[in-house]
Amino acid sequence: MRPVLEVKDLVVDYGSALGVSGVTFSLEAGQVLGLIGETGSGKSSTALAIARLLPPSADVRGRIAIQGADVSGYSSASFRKIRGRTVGFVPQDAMVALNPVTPVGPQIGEMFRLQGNSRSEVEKRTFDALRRVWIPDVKAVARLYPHQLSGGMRQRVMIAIALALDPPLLIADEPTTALDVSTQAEILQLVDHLRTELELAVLWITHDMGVVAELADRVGVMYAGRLVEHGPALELFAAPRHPYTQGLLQTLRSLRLGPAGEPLYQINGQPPRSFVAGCPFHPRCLSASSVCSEVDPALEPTGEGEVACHHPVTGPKEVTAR
Amino acid sequence: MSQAVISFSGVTKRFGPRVAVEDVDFDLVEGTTLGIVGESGSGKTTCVRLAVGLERPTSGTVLFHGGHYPRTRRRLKDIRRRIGLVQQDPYDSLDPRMTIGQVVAEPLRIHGAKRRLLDRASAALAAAGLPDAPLDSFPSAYSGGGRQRIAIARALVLEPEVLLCDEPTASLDVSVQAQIVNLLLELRTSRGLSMIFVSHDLDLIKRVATELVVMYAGRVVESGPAELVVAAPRHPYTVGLMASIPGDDPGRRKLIGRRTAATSATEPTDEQLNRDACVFARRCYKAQEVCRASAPLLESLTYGVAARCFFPESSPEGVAGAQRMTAAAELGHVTASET
Repeated sequence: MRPVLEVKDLVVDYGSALGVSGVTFSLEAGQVLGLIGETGSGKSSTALAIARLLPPSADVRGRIAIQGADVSGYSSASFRKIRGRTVGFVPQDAMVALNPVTPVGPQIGEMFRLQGNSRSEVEKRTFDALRRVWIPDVKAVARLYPHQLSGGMRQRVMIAIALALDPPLLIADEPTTALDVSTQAEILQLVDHLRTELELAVLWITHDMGVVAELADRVGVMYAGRLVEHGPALELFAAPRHPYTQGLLQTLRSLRLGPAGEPLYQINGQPPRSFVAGCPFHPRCLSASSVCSEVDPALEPTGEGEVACHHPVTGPKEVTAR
Repeated sequence: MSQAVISFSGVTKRFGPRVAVEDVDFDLVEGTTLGIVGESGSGKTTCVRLAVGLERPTSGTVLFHGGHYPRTRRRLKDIRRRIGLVQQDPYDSLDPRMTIGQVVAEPLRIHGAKRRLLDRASAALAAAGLPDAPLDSFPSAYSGGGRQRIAIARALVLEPEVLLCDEPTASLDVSVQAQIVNLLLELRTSRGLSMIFVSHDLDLIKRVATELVVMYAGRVVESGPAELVVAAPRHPYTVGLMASIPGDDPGRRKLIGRRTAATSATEPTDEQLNRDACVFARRCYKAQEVCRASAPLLESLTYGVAARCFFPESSPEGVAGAQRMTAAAELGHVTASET
C-alpha cells in the first residue's frame, strides 16, 4: 500500500534560527504518527512545511508527497485551492484560528460554500461536520460565537473544519496542550475514533509522551531539527534506543510513580538554541564520548525503527505484540 | 503545633458580574505545601493573587498569620516581603530592559535595603542554580529554564517564609520542568518554606503537595491530604480528572477506545453555569434532580477529606484500600463511571 504521506530529506531553513535539517518519514492510512519534541526541535516547522503554511521567508527543500502527489512545489497561496481536500490542519490555539466575530457554523460552512454548494447543502453538510466530531445539539452550537464555546468545543470545531472536505491526512500541532486533562482525553478518544472510521493518516505533534502513549502507532522523536529516533510506539516505549528518548520516558515515569517530595529524574542542560557541532544532544548526554562532539550520527536501523546515536541504549529487546 | 500561615474562609471574589472564586476555604499550614489543581478559569490564579494581597476578596476573609491584610500599600509591604511569588511565564514576568542583577535586586530596593544589594542578588541567583550568571546580562540571554531560575531568585531575595508558585513549569520544555521542580523541592527543604503550588498537572502536583485543593468553576470541590485525594478521589470531577491522565504505555492504553460518561456532555460556558446549583452537574455522571436544584456545601467526609457533592464516591478503607483501587483502575478494571 502506498503511504498517504511521504517526507524525504525535508529541510526548513530560516536563516539564523534552527529549523529542520533533513527529516525523512512516511505515514499510512489509519495510522497515527506521534512527533515529539521540545522548543526548537523542528516539530512544528515540519508540520507547517507539510501543510504548506510556512511564510515565504522560510526556505523549504526536500520532497513532500501526499498520496503520491508531490506538493513541495506549491507556495502557501497556490496550495490554497487544494489544501482542504489534501490536508487538514489543527493548530494549538483555536481561539486565535477562529474568527471571533462570526458564529462557528458559517466558519465551517465556508469550506462547503467555496466548493459551490447550494445554501441548503452547505447547512446540511455543516451540521454533519459538527456531528462527526461528537458535538450534540448541532443547530444551537452552529449559532454560537467562538468565545461562547469551551476550549474543548472550539478544538472540536477546528477538527470539523480540518476534516470538512475529507482530506486523507490530518496534521495536529499540539491541539490539546491548552486543554485540561479531561477535555484532552475526550479529544484523544475522538481522534482515535475518526482515524479508524475515516481511515485517516494522522500526524500528531506534541511534547507530551503520555499523549503519544495513548494515541500513536509510530513515534518520531525530534531534537534540534533532526529526527533522532523513530519506530513503532510499543517498541520505542519498551526499549528506547536514544538517550534523549530514554530520558524523556524516565522523566515521565518518575513523575508518575516516584514517591511524593522526592526529587524527579531530570535531564540536565537546556535544548540548544543554535547549531551544535556533532550530535546535537551530546552536551546533555550521559553517555557522550569524544566522537559525539565531532561526528553527527546518521540514522541506523534498530529493530523496526531507526536511531541516530553513536552509543545507543541497549536493553530488553523482545517486545511482545499487543 | 501546626499553624495556618495563610487562611481562606468563605472567600468570594467577583470581577463585575463574573465570579472568579466563590466560598473558598483552605489553610496553608506552616511547613507544608498546599497544591491547588484545576483547569484554566477555575480560579487558581485568583487564589494566588488574593493570598499575596494583590486582590482583596469581595466577601469572606483571607488571613496572614491570623491577621487581616492591611489596606494601605505601605503596611501591606510588611506582608509582601514575607511572601515570594513565582509566576507561570518567565518571558512575561521579567522586564527585558533590566539586567538580571537589577531584576533580582529590585525587591530589596523597594523594601528599603541599601547595602550589599548586588551581593544579595548574586547569592539568590546562586541559590536558584545560576552561580556564575553575570549580573549585567539580560533575561533575553537565557532560555525558559534559566529565566524561571531568575524569577525564583527574585522571589527568594527577601528571604520569604512562604513561596507561591503559579504554574511555575507550565511554559517550560519537558526536559527542563524536572530541573525547576527539583530546585523548588530543594529550596523548600533548605529554607523551611511553606508553599502554595498551583498546577493543572495532577502528576506533578501529587509529587509536590502535602495537602490538595481541587477547584472547579471557582469553587473548591474537594480537599484533603494529597495522597488520599489522588488515590481515592471522592468528588466525581476529581474522579474524572484522575481517570483522564494519559498512561505511559502504548501496550496498555487507559483512555483510547472508550468514551467515558462525562465525555458525552458538553462543557458549560460561564453564562450557562447555574451558581444556585452544583456547578459540575452538567458534566457529572452522577447528577440527580437535587444537583440541578441546589448547591452542595463542602462537607467533611473521612480521613480529613472534604467534598462539595451530594453523592460523593464511597470511602475505601484507608490508604491501603485506596491503593488497591488505583491499582485496579490502572489495570483497566475500573472505569470512571464504575468507581
